Amino acid sequence: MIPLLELTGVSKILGSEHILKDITLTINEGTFTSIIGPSGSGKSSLLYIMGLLDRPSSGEVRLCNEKIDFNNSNRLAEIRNRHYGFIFQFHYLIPELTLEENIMLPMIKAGKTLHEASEISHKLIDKFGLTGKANRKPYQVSGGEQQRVAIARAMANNPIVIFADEPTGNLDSKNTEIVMETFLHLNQEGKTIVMVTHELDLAKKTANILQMIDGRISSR
Amino acid sequence: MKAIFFLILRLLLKRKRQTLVAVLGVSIGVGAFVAMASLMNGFQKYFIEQAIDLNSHITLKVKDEEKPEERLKRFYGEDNIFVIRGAKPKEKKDKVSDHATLITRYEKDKDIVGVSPHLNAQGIIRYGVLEKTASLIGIDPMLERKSSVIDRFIVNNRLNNLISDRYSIIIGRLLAQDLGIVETGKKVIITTPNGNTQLFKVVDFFDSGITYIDQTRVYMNIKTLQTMTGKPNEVNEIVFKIKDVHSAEDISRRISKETGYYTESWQFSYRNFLQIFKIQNYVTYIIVFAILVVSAFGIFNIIMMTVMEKRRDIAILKALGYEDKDIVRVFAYNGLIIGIIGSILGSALGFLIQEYLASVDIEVQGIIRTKGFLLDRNPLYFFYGILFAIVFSFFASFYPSYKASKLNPIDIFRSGG
Repeated sequence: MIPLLELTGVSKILGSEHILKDITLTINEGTFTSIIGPSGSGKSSLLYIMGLLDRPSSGEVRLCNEKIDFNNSNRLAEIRNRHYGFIFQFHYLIPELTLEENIMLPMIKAGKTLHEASEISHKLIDKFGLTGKANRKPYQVSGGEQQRVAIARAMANNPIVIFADEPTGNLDSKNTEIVMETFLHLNQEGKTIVMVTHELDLAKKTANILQMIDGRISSR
Repeated sequence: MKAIFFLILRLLLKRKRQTLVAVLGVSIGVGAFVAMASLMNGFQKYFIEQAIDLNSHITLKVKDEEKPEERLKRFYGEDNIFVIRGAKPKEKKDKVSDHATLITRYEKDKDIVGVSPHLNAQGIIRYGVLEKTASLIGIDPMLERKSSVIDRFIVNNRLNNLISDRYSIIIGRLLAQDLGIVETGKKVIITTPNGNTQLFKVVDFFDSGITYIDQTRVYMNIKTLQTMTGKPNEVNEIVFKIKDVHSAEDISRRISKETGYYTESWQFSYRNFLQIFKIQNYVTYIIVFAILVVSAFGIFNIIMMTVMEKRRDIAILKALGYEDKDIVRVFAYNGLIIGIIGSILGSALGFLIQEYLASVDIEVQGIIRTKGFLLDRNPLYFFYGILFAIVFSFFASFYPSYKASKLNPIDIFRSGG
């Protein structure tokens, strides 16, 4: 197992509240890890720190053995763009853009030409079962399809790890199943996935489960 | 950079109506600036050019004697008020005694193009039963030509007639109209303050376009006026034409220092007008500034509203790896593009207003008389208009853009954005 993401003694304090307490963990390459726990246990906070969207109050984060400098916002943005993929509970698709254009966004930022980005975007649209809907706006497709577009967008720059924060929290059971199947399929293709969920049934489908309580990992 | 423009275009197209209003605001600002600047400056430049060409760049004369009230004030203190009644008016001593020497001397000056003597006097001009007061100016036509562009204003180009016929005059077009003279060759009678009366033939008209000049001025041969006023070989004014009209103040001071006479530059002679023009310009620019500020607020408002509405999108863009500077660019360029499009349309609007004003065929009767509006169609006004609009747009959009870049995506994701 090759370690991809390593957290050592990571704590997060907001005001007088200790949100994360001395967390040390390793996410290995190609694994599917789910983080579960009750509301306020710190699971999303942990995901945001791993996803370099937030900085820890103390501790160290390493990605592929590179120590992350949280003061270097440009490098953080570059890592998020080129190596990370994000999926949230809400799809956060830009309503003015078509599905294709939404998927193109991270690729254009990464320096791909519009033509290249469009080509990859179309491939992803086909892969996620959205063929023929490339030119639709987000509000013209169903909730499940919107979330699949969000997954396609997360996959656009072929990231080394995908972070999903309650990706099925807003979906019905049928779409939850489709999205989960998609994640499992991606993981089988070798993609590393870290998913925050409060649904134990979903977590059970993943190889690793981290249980969080009160800012600490209580069981693995 | 293409990612930024990719997003900007869509943002602009999303808020079509607001974008259009903001663009219109900027366009009106720029159009108004171009039109008002060319109109105001056209009038002012025309007036100044006419006044400079017609009168003189520098005038040398004997300084007016101090009023007795002023003399008393100087002695007893400025706080006192003195009123002198019934004092017998004295003859004004305004003779420039060494005028011939001065003319010879300054004709050779490198900064000076021409020097000419004047004898000014007040008089009454009568045609039939009609009488008008007139400002009589005795000139040497040959020297006058060198020190002004008098020929430009003489309708039939008969300035030389003042040399060949000592009892010929050239009178202002409006003065002639007031007297009922419509053609040359008419005989008029001029009376000077010392009681001398002389019959003159009107050989030409003088039409400067400046009302108060054309209403009062009468040109005649200086020798004739010297004889009539009983001031043989006297001159009470020497006028200078200089190479660079803008250095009139400096040269005026130099001549005054060298000769001991009082000198006045054209800027000083026309200080009241120049002051009015200055105020007029301030008012114009304040109005235009206000229009541009209002349009800038329009842009500010649009960008701020967009930022508020786009909080979710900004959050996801940041998660996707867009940097703070990218977010600033998306929104700042949005404002900038509104400014650029608005200023281009505004320039076109300004040009159309100029074209319209230029085509209006009306008689303007005021300080100056012209047919149609006087426009100064300097391309610089377009440049300044565009520059101001773009700078205003940039500053108006910068703050909301900066605020957008500082949004913390976590706050949005946690709140379910």
